[in-house]
Amino acid sequence: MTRKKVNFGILFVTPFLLGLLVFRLLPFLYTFVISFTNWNLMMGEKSFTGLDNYKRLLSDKNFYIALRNTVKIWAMNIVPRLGIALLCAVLFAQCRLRGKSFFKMVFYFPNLVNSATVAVLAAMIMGWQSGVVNRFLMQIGILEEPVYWLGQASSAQGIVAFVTWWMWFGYSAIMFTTGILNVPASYIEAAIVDGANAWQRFWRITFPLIRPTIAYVFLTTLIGGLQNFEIPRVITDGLGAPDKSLLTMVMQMHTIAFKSMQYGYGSAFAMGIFVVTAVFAAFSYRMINKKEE
Amino acid sequence: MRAKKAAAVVLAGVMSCTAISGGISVSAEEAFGEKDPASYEADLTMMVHTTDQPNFMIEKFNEVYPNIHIELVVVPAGEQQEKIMNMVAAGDDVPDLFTSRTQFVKAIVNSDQYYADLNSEPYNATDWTSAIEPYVVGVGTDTTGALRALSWQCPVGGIYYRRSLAKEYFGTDDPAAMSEKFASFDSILETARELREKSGGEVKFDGDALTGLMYLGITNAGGYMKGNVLNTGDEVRELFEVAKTMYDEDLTGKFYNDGQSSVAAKGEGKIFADEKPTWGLTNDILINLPEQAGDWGLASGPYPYTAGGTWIGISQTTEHPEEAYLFLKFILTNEEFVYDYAVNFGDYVSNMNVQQKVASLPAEEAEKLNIFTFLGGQNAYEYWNGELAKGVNPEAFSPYDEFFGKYLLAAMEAYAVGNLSLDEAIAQYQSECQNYAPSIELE
Repeated sequence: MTRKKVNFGILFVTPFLLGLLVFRLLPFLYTFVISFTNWNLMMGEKSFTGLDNYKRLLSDKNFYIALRNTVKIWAMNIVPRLGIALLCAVLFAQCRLRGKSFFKMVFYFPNLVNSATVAVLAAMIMGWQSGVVNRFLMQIGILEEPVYWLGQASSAQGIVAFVTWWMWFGYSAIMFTTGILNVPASYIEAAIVDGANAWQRFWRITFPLIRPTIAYVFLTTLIGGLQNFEIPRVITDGLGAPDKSLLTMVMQMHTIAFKSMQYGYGSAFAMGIFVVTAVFAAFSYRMINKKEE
Repeated sequence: MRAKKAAAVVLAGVMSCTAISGGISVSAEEAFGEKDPASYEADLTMMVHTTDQPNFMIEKFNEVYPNIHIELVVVPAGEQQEKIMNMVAAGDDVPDLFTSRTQFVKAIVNSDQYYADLNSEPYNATDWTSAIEPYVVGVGTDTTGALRALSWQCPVGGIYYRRSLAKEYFGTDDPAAMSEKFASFDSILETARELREKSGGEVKFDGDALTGLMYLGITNAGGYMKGNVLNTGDEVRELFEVAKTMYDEDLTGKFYNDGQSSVAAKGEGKIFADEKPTWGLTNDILINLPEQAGDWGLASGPYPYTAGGTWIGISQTTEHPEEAYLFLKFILTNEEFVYDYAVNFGDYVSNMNVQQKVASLPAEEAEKLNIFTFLGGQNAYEYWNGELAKGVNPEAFSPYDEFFGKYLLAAMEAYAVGNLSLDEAIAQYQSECQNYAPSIELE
C-alpha cells in the first residue's frame, strides 16, 4: 500500500477516532476516575475515597437484584427472539411467499418506534382496572376479575421481555435474512443434486454459514439486553416495582447517579455494569468461537 | 473661627463616613426599585417546568417594567433538580431566576450554592415578606435562617367530592357535613363502606387511595423525615393499614399510576371523591371534567395538609440582581397582579392580603373565578384560608421528598395488593430511601 493511500486511510478514520476518543474513551476514563471519589452533588461532597465505592457495590443488594433481573429479562426474550427471527429469515429467504416485503416492513416497524412510547402503550394495554387485555379477557369470560399483570413480579418481567422481543425480533430477522441470502447459491444447488432435503440443507449448509451473523446478533443482543433501561424505566417510573422485579442495572445506576446525585458511587456502579457486560460478552464470544473451531 | 472650622471638618468627616459605610445599603435600597420602572433594562433568563403561569407573570411584569426581558428556559419537571444542580456545578448558563418544585426545594434551599439569601445584601427583602404566608416563607428558609426562595402559590389541600353523588347516597352535599364524614381515617373508611353498600359497589370512594392517603397523612405525620431520621412512625404505618383496607374491601378505584382511567371513571360517575391540594382542582378535575362544573364540592380531610407547589429564587451568580429581585417582588407583592393571577388561574396565592380579598368577594364578583362556579358557588379561598389557619408545618418538608414519596407509594401498594407484609413493605421503603440517600438514619 502506498504512503499516500495510508494517509488517506488515516484521514478517513480520523473523525471516527476523534469521536471515539471524545465521546467514549474520555468519559469512560473520567467515570473510572470519579468512581474513586464520594462526589455527591446533593450533599456537596467531593473527595478521594479509594475503593470505598467498590466495597459498597460488592455489598449492595440492589446491584445483585438488578443483575439477576436484567439477565432474567434478557434470557426470557433472547430465545424466542432469535428462534422466531431465524424462522422468519428462512421463510423470507428461501420460500416463495407473497407479500414478503410487506411482512419484513411490518416486523421491522416496532424497531422504529421510540422505546418510551412502546412502554407507555404496553402499560396502558396491560393496565389493571381498565387495560385492554383485562377487559377483553373479562368480556370473553376467561377472567372474572381484572389481573394486576404489572403488579406481579413474574408477569411484569414477562411483559417487559415480550415487549423487548416484539420491538427487536424484526431487526434480527432482517440481519439473518441478509446472512442467508449471502450463502452462495451453488452450495445449495449442489446439496439438492446430492439429494439433501430442505431440513438437511438448512442445518448442514445454511446454519453453519450464517453462524458469524448469528454470533453478531447474539452479542449485540446480549450487550443491549444488559443495558435494558427505557421500557422498565417508563413502566415503573424509575422504581423497578413490583418488588424490584423490574429494577435493571442501568436503571439503578441512573437513579443513583442522576436522581440522588451520587456521582462517585454511580460511577462505580457503571464500572460494575461494564465488568459484568465484558465478562458476559467475552464468555459468549469464547463459546461461539469454540464451536466454530 | 478655628473651632468652627474644626467642627465643620469633623462633621464632614462623620457625614462622609456615614455615606461610605451606610451609604452602600442606602443607595442599594434606593436603587432596588426606586428608579423609574422604564429605566430598568436587562435580559434575564428564568428556568421553569411549565409556561402558562410564568408567561402570564412576564406579560404583567412587562406592563410595569417594559425593558426587562425575561426568557423562559423550560425543563421537564422530573429533570429540573438534576438540571439545576448540574448547571450550578458546571457554572455554565445558570439562569438568573429558577423555580424548584416543593418535592426538592429543600435540597436547593438548604445548600448555599444555588439561591441568594433574600434577607441579606443587596436584597434586604425583610420589609415585605411578612405579607407572604408564613409556611411558604418557612419552606424557603434554610437551616441557618437565610431566606432563599418563595412561592407565589400556597397549595393546601382538601377532599373534593361529587355533590350529586353526595346527595344521592348521603342525603346532603353540604361541605360541613362532608367534612364530618371525612374527619378521620376511620370515618373515611366508614363513608367509603356506606357508599359501597348504597351504590351496590358501583361507586368507589376515590380513584387512587394510595396517593390520596399520602397527601392526607404525610404532612400530619411530620413529613418523610424527622430530622435526619426516616419517618416510619405510627402515623406512616397507619397510611399503609388504611390503604390495605381500602384495597381489600374494594373501596377505591385502584387507579394508582393510571390517571387517565381515573379521569374516565370520574366522568362515568363511578368515583365519589378526590383528595388533592389546590392545584388538583385547577390542573386536574376542572380541566378534565368541565361538564361536571357545579357538581363538585370541597371539604376538609382528617388533617390540614399541603402538597406540591413551586418556589422561586434568584441565582447567586446573577448579573442582574436588581431586575431579578424586582420580578420576584412583583409576582409576590403587587396585589393588583396577584389578584389578576388568582382570578385567571384559580390558584391559591401565598399573598395573605389577596387571600383575604378573594375570600371576601361578594357573590357577583366571586363568579369571575371559575373555580368557585365549578365548586357550585363554594368559596374555595374561604375554605383554604380556614385550612391554613389550622396550621401547616414547614418542617414537614425534606430535601428528598421527590423520591421518598415515590418509594412510600410503591411500598404502600406492595402491601395493599398483598405482595409484601407490612414489615416487609416498611423494610423495602427504608431500604429504597437509604439507597437513595445513604446518610439518612432509620428508626
